[in-house]
Amino acid sequence: MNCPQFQDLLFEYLEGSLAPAIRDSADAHLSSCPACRQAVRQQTQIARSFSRGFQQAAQTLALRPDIQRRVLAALQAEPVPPPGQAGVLAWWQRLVWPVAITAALLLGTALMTGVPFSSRVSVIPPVRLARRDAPAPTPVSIRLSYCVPTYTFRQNGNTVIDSLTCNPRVVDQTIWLSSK
Amino acid sequence: MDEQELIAALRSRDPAAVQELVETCGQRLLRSAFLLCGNETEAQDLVQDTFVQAFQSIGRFGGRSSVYTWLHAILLNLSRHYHRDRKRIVCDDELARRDVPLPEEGPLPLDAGLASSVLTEALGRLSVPHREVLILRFYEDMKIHEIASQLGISCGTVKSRLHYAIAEMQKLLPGELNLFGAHGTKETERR
Repeated sequence: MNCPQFQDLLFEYLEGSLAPAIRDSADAHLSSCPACRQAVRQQTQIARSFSRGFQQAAQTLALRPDIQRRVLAALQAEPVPPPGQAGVLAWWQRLVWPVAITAALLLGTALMTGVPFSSRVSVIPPVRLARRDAPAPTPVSIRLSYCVPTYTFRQNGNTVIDSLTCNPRVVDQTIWLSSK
Repeated sequence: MDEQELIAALRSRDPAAVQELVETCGQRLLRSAFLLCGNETEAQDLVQDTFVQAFQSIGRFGGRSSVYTWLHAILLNLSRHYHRDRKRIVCDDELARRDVPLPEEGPLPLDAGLASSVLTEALGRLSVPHREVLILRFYEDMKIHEIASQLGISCGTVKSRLHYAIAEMQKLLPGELNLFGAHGTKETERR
């Protein structure tokens, strides 16, 4: 481990959350690096100072006695959700806006292009039914490009992060046309 | 009552459970709220709103974190709204605060009360993201990955914000308070 690598892990080193192998490597680096030992001492001092300072700054505060009463009063004004429904309802409530936005985007795309989800058609020749006495049909290649919207959700702690991605797809097809 | 029982009791709006939660978490939340907003009256209101919002959305609590961590996440969210509203509505107070110089000149007595008020004042001058990481790290004693999870950001971003926040506090705090020991601010080294 070198100095930049150690500095990058300094906070984790101080909080003791490094994996044992990385911790050993960090200890080995510290034993031979006075600058990083100094950084550890300094950060330890800073942490102690902030911790003590914050505790002192807030230690005289006391919760107002009426807060508990106010909270209870606010709760009594709320209807109790039926058991078993609260979680499901909350889950759906969280989806309302993302689903609404997706629907609006899809609708907008459909209205702008005229064809839902298809963005471009490079060749669309008029297709005619082949007659029995007509010459052999000729092949025509067409390329169809379109976008597939994908809406994903992931949870990061107490936050639900949603993202909309558009995956382009290209399809090559051959259709057979008969000439006049 | 353990946390599971407490949550079940809160879902059925048991007043005893409400009382227990307010008694066990209220004080700690209040102090954190005060450090976040710098105003005791606002901190009391923030804590009250935190409890009300928590009880209203108790159905969403999945038990993946402790009740206190969940309450603190609500508090953080509410305090961000507080800062946004304050920026929109109250400008004079902020301008006035900027005009009050921090006691950087002249010797200062190392009084704990004064040191605390100077520290709170300096904390109030940080941006909200920098203030949040400092409080979560040094007041709530959270690990880097816990802060990342609480704020919904990466561990790298947490560390970067911590570095900047500490450097900013070192610039804002007078060297005479000796908050950072022998390896204190640049001002201390110059004097």
